[in-house]
Amino acid sequence: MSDPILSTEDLGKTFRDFWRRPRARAVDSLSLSLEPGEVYGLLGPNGSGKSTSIKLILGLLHPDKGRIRVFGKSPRDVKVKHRIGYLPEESNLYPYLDARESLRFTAALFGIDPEEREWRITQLLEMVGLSHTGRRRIGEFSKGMARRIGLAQALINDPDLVILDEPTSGLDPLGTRQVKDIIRSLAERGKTVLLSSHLLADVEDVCDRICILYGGIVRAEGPIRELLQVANHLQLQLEDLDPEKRNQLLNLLEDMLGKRPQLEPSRKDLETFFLEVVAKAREDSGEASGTRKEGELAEFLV
Amino acid sequence: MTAFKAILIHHLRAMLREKVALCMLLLLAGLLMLLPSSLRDDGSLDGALRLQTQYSMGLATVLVAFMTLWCSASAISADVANKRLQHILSLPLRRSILWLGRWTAVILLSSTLLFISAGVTLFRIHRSVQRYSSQKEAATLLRARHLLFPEARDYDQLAKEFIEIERLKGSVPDEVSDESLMQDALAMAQAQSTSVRGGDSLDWNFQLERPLRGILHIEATFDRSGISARQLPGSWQILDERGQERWASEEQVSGSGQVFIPVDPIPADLTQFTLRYRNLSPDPAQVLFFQPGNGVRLVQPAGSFTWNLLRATLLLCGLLALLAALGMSAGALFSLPVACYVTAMLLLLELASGTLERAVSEGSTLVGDAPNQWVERLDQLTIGTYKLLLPILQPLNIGNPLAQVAEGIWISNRLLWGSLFLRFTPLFCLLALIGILLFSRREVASQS
Repeated sequence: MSDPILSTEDLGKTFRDFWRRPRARAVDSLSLSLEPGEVYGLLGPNGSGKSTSIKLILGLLHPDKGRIRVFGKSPRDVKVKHRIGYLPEESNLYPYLDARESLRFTAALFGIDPEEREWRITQLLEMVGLSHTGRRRIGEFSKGMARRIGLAQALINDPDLVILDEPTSGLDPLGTRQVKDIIRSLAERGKTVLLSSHLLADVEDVCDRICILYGGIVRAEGPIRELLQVANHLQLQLEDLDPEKRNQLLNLLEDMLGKRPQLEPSRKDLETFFLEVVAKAREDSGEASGTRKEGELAEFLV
Repeated sequence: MTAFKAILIHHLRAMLREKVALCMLLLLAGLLMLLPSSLRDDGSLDGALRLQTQYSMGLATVLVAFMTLWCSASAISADVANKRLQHILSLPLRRSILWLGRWTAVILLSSTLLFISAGVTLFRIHRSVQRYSSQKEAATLLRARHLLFPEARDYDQLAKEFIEIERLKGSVPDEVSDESLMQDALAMAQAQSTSVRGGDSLDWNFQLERPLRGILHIEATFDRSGISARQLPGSWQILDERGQERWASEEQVSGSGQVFIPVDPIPADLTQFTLRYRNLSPDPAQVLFFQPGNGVRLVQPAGSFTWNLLRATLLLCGLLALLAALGMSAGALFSLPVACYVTAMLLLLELASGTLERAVSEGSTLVGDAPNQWVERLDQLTIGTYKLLLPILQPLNIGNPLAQVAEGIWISNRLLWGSLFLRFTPLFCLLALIGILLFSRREVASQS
């Protein structure tokens, strides 16, 4: 088994007031280990310690106890940060910069050379559907647009570890779908993704493993398939079944089980339905203002 | 270096696009263009020069100082408040680079604005030259000079000697208190040391760091007893350590005023000498009074007014660099209002450093007697606090360089480079070190 990309051991963090008196225990005895190519979800209600854990992992907060290793080093090591892409909980970008300037600044801090930088920026803006924003300043962007720029910033260095804090917050369903697709594509390329969210559907769609936090303590942890499996409960999916065959099947099952099972028609989830409607509307009426149709995954990320 | 450059360029752009900084830039432009037009000078080049240098440039400096204060204090604290710092520090960037990059951006902008202000001031002065004065007057006024002052006289010692002599003569009445006697004796000693009767002479001793070069002038400011249109004959001499005359000149003075006497040729090897004025009037009642303090001084042309103004601007930039360092460090540790307050306090203390220094040397802030013992204790406490502050403030006390420029006094190398490298640089290093160390240890994300 390869070395973990990220590991925490018995991590603890208590927020204190001015007089160093404990105010809130945000994280308690958190032990995680993320393998390469894995999408790991941090779940929990508001105030459960998800964002604090991420800030500890990034070295923005100092743990009271425990140990964090990212790529085998301290998270405060600058070399480690070259391999991390981070999308904060709130995309507080510089409002007086335009999208390109904002990405250029981030790329410069990663030491990406100017030619490569411009190429990557073009690719990323295409990818997040903001290539048309031109000289518009970020201060004029909607929350969703700013979030997309935040995502582009998190990916500009082609990171090995991507940390996404509530990545779909403020995004429309199209954007949400795209973020999820990006996460899956990154994982397929062997990148590790740490995702924090309280939107369960998002986590369920993309994560391999999850950890549920409550009051800073891990309440459940493991592969999502195992955690969501309901014992002694099976599901049967059938397509194009005519009424006669359906009755025969029901009679057969009634004979076998001793009681008549209930049959219900399958339903699409709302996200799939929404995406279909918008795709059709796009075909009929063309692009609306705001974000445009997102492009493919940036070439340098493929 | 790439990260430093990125932070520098980014912060320059941020400051130029920030509304507060933009408002201050507009105010500065308005101040430089409109204020001199709205103020009336006295119609002379000297007046215009003082107005432009001390008022326009002085106010521009204050405005730039406030802009520096705001930009430096908000450089980090605003990013903490807006939660932008979390993102920046998740990038591969050392906090020291962030601190230094932003400080450099602040000081680059402030210095550029200050030098632009100096350029506008110079442009306006040169326009005033064309309007008001002859080329000869302009050549005199637009020339900065070194001022060489004689050694200070020990008036206390002279007063004591005077009291001793008077006591020996028996001319001191018993009912006169020692304090009052000393006050009178001091006034007498001062009068005697700055006045010369007919037939008498008065000496001033000069100790110079290096031999004199170039054209030298004696600048004497005086008054004379009585109202008389008659010329008062007198002679000036320069005597070396052995009392040998090295240069002499005769000069007639009338009324009160100022005379400039060229010393030519200058005794090139002299670093210690005595300047003597002899009142050649046969009448002892014809007394010449020199202004106490700077009644007699030597003046040596040093450089052009332009260079002098630029040197003063450079000196002010050094002070702004310190202000920016304090603002950055305070902003890295505290919220924006607190950081602004701390930095503004330094600015105010710097402006008051001369007053504090005087208060400490005089041992009291009170004029006259303390009304009661509590006031006296409070005064002692204040002086004690000033004494604690003085080691920090003394290096900041560079006087008023713009007033010096307006008076045509050369900003000496000692003041300029000494202040920049020996006073400001160590203080800057200290402030930067404390700021960066504490910032590096600071948690930048609070409980959300």
